[in-house]
Amino acid sequence: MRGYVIIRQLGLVCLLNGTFLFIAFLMALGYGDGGELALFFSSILAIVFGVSPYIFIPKIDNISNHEGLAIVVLGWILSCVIGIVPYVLYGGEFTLANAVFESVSGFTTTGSTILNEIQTLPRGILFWRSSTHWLGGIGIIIFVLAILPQSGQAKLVLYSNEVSPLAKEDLRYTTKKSIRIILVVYLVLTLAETLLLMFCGMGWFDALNHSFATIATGGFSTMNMSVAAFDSVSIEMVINFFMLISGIHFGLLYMTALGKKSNVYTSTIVRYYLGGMAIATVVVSIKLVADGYYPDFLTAARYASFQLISVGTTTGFATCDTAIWPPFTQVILIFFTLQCACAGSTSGGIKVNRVMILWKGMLNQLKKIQHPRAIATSKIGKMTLSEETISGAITFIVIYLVVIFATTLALTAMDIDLFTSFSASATCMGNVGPGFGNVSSLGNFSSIPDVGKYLLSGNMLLGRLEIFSIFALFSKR
Amino acid sequence: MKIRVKIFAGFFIMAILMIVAGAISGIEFSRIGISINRILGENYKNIEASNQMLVGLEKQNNGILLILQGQWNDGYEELEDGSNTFIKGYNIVKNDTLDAVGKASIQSLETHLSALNMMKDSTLFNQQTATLKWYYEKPYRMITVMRHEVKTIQKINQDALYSTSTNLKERARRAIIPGIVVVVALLMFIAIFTYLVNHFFVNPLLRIKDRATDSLKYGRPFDVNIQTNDELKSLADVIKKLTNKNH
Repeated sequence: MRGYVIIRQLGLVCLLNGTFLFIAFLMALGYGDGGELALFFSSILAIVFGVSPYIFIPKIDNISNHEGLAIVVLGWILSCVIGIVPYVLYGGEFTLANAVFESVSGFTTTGSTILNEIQTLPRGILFWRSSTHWLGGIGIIIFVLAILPQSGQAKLVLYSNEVSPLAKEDLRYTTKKSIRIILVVYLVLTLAETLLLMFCGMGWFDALNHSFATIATGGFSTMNMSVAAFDSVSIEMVINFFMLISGIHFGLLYMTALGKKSNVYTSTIVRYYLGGMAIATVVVSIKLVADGYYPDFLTAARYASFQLISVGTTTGFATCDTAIWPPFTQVILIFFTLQCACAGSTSGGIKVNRVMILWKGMLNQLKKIQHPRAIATSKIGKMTLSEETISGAITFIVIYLVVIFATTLALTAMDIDLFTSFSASATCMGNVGPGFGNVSSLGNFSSIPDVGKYLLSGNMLLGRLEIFSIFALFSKR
Repeated sequence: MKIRVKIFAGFFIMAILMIVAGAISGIEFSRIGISINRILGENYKNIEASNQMLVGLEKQNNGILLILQGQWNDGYEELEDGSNTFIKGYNIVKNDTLDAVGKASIQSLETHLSALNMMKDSTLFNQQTATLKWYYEKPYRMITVMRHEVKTIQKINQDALYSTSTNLKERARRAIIPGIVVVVALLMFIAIFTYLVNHFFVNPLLRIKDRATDSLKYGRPFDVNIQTNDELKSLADVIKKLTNKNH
């Protein structure tokens, strides 16, 4: 592995972050409400570190697969480190542990926060906070590949390591075109949501920040009470819609827009994803009305759909406190916290695709038990699932649950109650955002001890990089 | 890019980092200075002035009680002294209090002060009217209200003193952090810089030396791959030409 190759590519990551920090600095300067020095210093630091590799290291055309993997993993870690700097320099509620947690939560699009007083933060810092979502949502390396020039081979290696293997199934284009599709969909969705939110009465700053957080399925709001602060049905509907479609494979959205055969309407995975959300919304709404939480079905559906879509797409916005909902509805929300949305979207978690593969694999296994000599194959839509795909998905799910269990165990050792520990672990691992107990939808993670915050930050990164990348990087070749 | 430029750029980057950190720390320290000035210049001065006003009120109260006892001369003297002490403190506080609650208290003080002065100067304040009942109904009540208002102003300033002092702690932390961040960043940069200098300058030089030695000793062809397009590549090319010429 050539260190200088990695350093050169990481320089691009620094430059990208530095550019966004500088935009945040300009915003802070414009509003004049604080945070200018912190953002200016951070942007200079990132830009200087980004430029320096170009002075020494000549252009590199070939990158090995292992180098690509290292660039992707270290790129994420480096971004999180850069993200810490403005927070630590700003101070306030940002201790080192809090800054680490907030930065990792931002870049991994988790959206869990340690802040009690979000509205008192300067707008420049708030913009940077949302930017971390936006940069992380699309994948920092994808952003780098889309904006900055790279050779074809380097693009291919970096793209292969950044994008989930499941996502590649629905995006059978050249690397260059795939990257362009992802970026175009990302930009169009962000712009469309910003304009619609402004149309619904939100100020441009809030609209932009909420769009960044929605399309990236992040969940950082500019309000202490998240989306509940606006108390507007139209705003909730717009955010609901964009959360829902941000949970669908971007390639499928692109093909749907172009009127291609393979689209969201024909995709089995999308049908399962949307069907699951619809059924869960109806069931949860009925339960909430039956238990007297809301006066009528429509009001219950308003809050239930928002919370389910928010959790199910790993966004994490809130319009009410689900911690006070009946246990039955909380179990459904926990299921969606674990399952999450489709591969190829900006969401995290196990993903619908793997849940479906697991389900098909189980059915196949049952068939084999009933008919030992039969040759049974599993299919999702027209795609036949190989043994390798099924075992890969099962392995992922098992490791995923083991990590959640281990983190829960560690958090309970810190005297955090079981429900809070489990939901915090699951929500951070799935990059969802809110959990239950002390870390519920309108609460925050400030009460978690510092060690717990570092542990959960690790979980977020592990979840974002889909576990295997980190294991593969640090395993012996 | 020439080696000289590259090396210069490396040190220039280090210098930029240090200058920016120094500038930010400087700005934060100057803000600490402003905060200290505010504590001493405004809050502490106002707290002292409030104490002076309380002493003034106490003296005026004593003066009235002395008059009630029939000690007219001592009473008037104490009353006058108290009034002057109060006015001194009042004038300081009046100009520095910007808080809305504080302004309301100042307004109330002003009203009660003029009422007290009127009472003092009026003919009603004589032997016939100056009874204990009159004292409890008029001057005592006024002085109690004024004492309350002065204490309100004092509390505002004490709270401001506390919050500014707490802020000082935060500002001191903020002034130190850029330095810590830069030290960490510099260490990282130095590590990377050393690695790159070693990889792109020192190693190629050693390779050139080894190949040149091999060429001279054993007559092997001089073949060195230099990745960078700088003086090292030119040096390798020149040596290659030279060794080819000699062979």
